[in-house]
Amino acid sequence: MSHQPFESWLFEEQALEESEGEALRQHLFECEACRSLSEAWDDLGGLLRASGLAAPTVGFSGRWRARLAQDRERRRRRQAWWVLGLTAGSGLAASLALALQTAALLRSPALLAVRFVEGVSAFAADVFLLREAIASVAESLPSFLTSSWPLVSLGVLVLLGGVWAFSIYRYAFQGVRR
Amino acid sequence: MLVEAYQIPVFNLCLRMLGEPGEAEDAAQESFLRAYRGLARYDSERPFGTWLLSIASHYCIDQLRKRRLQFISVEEEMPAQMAADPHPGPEEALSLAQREEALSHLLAALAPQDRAAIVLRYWYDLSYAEIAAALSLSVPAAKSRLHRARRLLAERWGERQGDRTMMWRPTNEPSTI
Repeated sequence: MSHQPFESWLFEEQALEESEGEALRQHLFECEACRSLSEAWDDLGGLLRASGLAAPTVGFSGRWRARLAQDRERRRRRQAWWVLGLTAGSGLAASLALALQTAALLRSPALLAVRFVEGVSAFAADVFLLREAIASVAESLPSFLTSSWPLVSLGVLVLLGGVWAFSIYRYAFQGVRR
Repeated sequence: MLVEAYQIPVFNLCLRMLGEPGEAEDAAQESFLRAYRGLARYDSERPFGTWLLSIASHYCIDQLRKRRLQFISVEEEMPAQMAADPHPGPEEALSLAQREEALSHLLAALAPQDRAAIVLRYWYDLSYAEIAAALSLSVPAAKSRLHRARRLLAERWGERQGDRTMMWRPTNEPSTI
């Protein structure tokens, strides 16, 4: 005996046409397996619908707040270690590269002297070029700005330094706070 | 506070999914934490409760999958546990609490996503579309899971009732066992 579509009708919870309802009743009368399923589902469906919501024990939200605080602290520590580790790792890598280069130079003092002179010359040339560039920019600026140029430069440097320090502090220690 | 307002629905979902109050409390707390961390991703056009239940459902489904890797399948244990009940009362006197417990055992027989679909449907009255959205399924897939789950539950419930009827048969009647 075929149990379809009757079995589907039993479990789909959809409204049946009158003819479908009659066909289902006839099938349930003849088919013991489907009748058992139907009775079991009627019983169980009622139980499911009547079952209430279970509540947690008293103090759930207090325990959650404590857990949230723990979680924040754990994430803050992890983030601080991550940022500090990255900074230390970068510093270490840069130091290693510098040490390797220095070691290579130390093997030949003459080469070291040549590199030193080259370095000083290049630095002096860069400073000269920078001064020229600044002077040409200053010429195009109004006079009141030109007179306060050193002060403005110092202010910008202090501001950038402050932003850098705050960024490190923010990412290392306050990153997880909302 | 949102935790105060939603603690009962979320805890109930976790309890129906995991079956053990301690685990349910832990899962509910974790679900709220995940929701708190993910508040920026919450779509305000969606009901907040459904979004929260979706997070809890996914977390419980993950926990059940992990548990399945660690323990013997619950489905294999179920019939033995039920048949071995040493002190069954008369069928007529089966209290609501006992039926709730039986319901919890029956739910444990379902696959995690099927269980979540049943809980969302019968405890929270969510529509097929809402269940599909909460479980990241298509609507036909959600319907199919519900159909399969209802059939399995009815089968198990029928078997259970049959077992009890046989076990509680009065001693003056010939036993079929």
